[in-house]
Amino acid sequence: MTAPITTTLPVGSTRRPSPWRRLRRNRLACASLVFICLVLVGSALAPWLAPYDPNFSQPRLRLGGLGTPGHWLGLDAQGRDLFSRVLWGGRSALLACLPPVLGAALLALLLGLFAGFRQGRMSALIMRTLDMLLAFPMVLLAIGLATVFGPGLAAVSLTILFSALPYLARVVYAEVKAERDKEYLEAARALGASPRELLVQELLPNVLTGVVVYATTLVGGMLVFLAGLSFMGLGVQPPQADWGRMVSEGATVMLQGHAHVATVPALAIVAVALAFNWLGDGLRDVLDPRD
Amino acid sequence: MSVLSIKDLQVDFIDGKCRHAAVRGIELNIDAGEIVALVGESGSGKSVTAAALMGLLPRRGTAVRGSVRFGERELLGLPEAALNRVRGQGIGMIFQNPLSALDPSFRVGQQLVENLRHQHRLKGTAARAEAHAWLERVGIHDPARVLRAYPHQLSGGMRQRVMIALALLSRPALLIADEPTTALDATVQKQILDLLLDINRRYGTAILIITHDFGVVSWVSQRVAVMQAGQVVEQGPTRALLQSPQHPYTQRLIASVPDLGARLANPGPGRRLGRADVPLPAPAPRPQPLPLLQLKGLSKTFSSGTGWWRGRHQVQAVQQVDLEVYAGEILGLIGESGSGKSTLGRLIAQLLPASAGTLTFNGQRLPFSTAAEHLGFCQQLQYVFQDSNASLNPRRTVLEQLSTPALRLGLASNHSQARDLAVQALERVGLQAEQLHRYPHAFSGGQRQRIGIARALVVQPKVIILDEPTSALDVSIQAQILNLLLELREQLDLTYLFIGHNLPVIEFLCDRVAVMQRGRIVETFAAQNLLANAHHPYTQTLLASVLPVRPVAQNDSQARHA
Repeated sequence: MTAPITTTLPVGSTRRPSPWRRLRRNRLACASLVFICLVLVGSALAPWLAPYDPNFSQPRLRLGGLGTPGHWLGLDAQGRDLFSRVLWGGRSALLACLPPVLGAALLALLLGLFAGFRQGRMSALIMRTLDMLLAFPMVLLAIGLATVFGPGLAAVSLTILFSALPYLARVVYAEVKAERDKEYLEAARALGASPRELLVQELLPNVLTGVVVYATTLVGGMLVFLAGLSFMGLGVQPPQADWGRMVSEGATVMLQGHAHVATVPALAIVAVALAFNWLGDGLRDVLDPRD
Repeated sequence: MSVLSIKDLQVDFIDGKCRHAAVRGIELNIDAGEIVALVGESGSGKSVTAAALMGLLPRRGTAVRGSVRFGERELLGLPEAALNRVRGQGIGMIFQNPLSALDPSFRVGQQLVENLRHQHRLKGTAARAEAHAWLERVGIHDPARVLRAYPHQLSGGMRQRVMIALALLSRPALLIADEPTTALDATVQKQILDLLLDINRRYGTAILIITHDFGVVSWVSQRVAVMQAGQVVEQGPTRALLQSPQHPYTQRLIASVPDLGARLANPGPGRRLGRADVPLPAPAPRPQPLPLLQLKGLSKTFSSGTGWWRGRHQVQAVQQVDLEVYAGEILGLIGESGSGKSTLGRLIAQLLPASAGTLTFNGQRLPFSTAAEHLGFCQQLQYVFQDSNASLNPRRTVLEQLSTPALRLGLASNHSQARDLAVQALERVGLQAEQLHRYPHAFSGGQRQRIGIARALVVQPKVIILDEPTSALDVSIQAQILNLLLELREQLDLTYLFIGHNLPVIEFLCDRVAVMQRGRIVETFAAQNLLANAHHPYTQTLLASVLPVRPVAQNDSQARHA
């Protein structure tokens, strides 16, 4: 009855390259990802990879510099092998950073989606509470938590969760507010979508990228913050190895000309934090379907 | 003596090692006091040409060759400082969106005075007086108020007038206007175009007007150049070119534009735009037309300004609307922007709750109380949005967006059935199944609007509300979409409520028209011949602002500035 209708397609624009391919094209992000994976594997396998027990001390070789035979990164003031301690220290650092930031991201998604979508008294309450958290000095919170739980992994993990949460929730909230009046949500409502379907099927994919990118970047910052907490004695307790605490111990012998004791763990912190930052930047480009 | 002469202008965009030719070998002359139109569809390179003339293209990433002479002076390759003098004094420019072209954080007066001080060395009071005078010259009745206002406090038409005043301050010999009226209502568009004609006559300013609208071309220009894919395919005197276009592309383009009164030639369901009509028998009159949708006293009030200090401010968007939509018809809803057309559409689709009045669909009172009944309603009444870009979720593939509703509304019981329905809907609108896995950004504007229609079709509705679905599209794409809508109605026995502001389009497509003004329906009449059937003075104003394309109706406009 009617002639077929056809349209011509732009030539050569087939499907966009997969995210994985696009990540591989971004060299810096790719290198960061490889480095982070190496650090993760190294820390996880520390009991097998470390040449010495992290608390085994050889007083005879104390403060041995870089390249001491059998201890290529040297030894600290108590004669403990620095390479082994860096490996073990990565364990506690990553354990105290990654799960709390992940938890904060999930919680932020939940709160941000709810507050941004359902504007009302309840969401105002949520956002104002988060604002208060934003203004609260986190060191004070860490001290408080350490008093309650005793200094250690639990206290610093919670501190990191609460420091990351308000920033992440703000990002989600802002993105939801920007998206919530777009026509595709109206179109979904015209097609019978319930509020839950609107949130999960339509909004979530549009706000997820921002959170993933920001959370990845935040891991780096939190790693540094954690080192600061450990430095102050609020984090992992001695004799357990921890990057921040190693810096603080190394600082005492720094002036006596043994810079490597503080520098080695400090470099580890900087390298991992940088890698997370670069990875976050790369993810931003990779995850956006609009090239 | 020509003001501007362009010879063999070439513009390449350079992306890494790739060179992509955007403009290829343009030759164009503009004489003193002449109005020339550069017309083409999106992506044809008309705006790139204008930007190249003014040296506004980024120096990195573009390569411009050829010659652009302004009077005696070669503009290409001129250093930035000299070019700035030409831009300030020789050539003025106005843009499509005056809100983004005016600085939002300065008052209009400050922007005008700043310019007068800098370029004409006028002192404070003298500059103020001059600014005041210029606003009067561009037809602003209360210059004192406008001088104090910030750009966002003015209407679109007022902003464009201010923009024109700014461009004219230095009495340029040439004014380049890039889509100056595209963002404006038809009535305002005509006022602005008449202002441009007036300026041309009074000051002898030559005008290069860049547009996609043949109505604008025919109304203002003396000569016209048609661009396609970076080349001028045809140029000549406007009247002759519109009457008998020589190049096939121009012929196709002009045939795609509906004109008022053209519907009389073939009012039947087989009418097509831009291609041969289809022989279809006139439809048998329905025995007793049933109102599928019935609106009685429907109203919607928005309250805004919910501050603690100020009281609430109420806006009556829709007031006491009575309207019937019969099964199988296409009802057009027209009115200026802000008249409440879209709000009414959203009220009917239950996207907004009504403040007062009743709405019945198929004899049942809306809104439904249970979720199941509401889903049943969604399945029968669908909505196609104006902005095809914003109405598709950028992060979901076309398949996901088409199959989810089919599953939700119970038309498919599993994913493979939903996929089949999605493919069927996509093929109905002229797209292919291979495109299902793409994201919306991979499609052009016209294709995205087809996807929007496919998404409505996938749930097999009875009624579709179309909210200006073609207003953002090129004329040839618009013609395709309008033809598609007519075909789909025949194939699927659909009923449309078509919201629009382009009267020739409404006349071509619709069976009946309802006219809306400030939230009220002022009259309803048969669409076959708008000029003969309209009675209300508001409708007459709307009709008077339509710019005719075909030379037949154009004699008087040409005579005005001959």
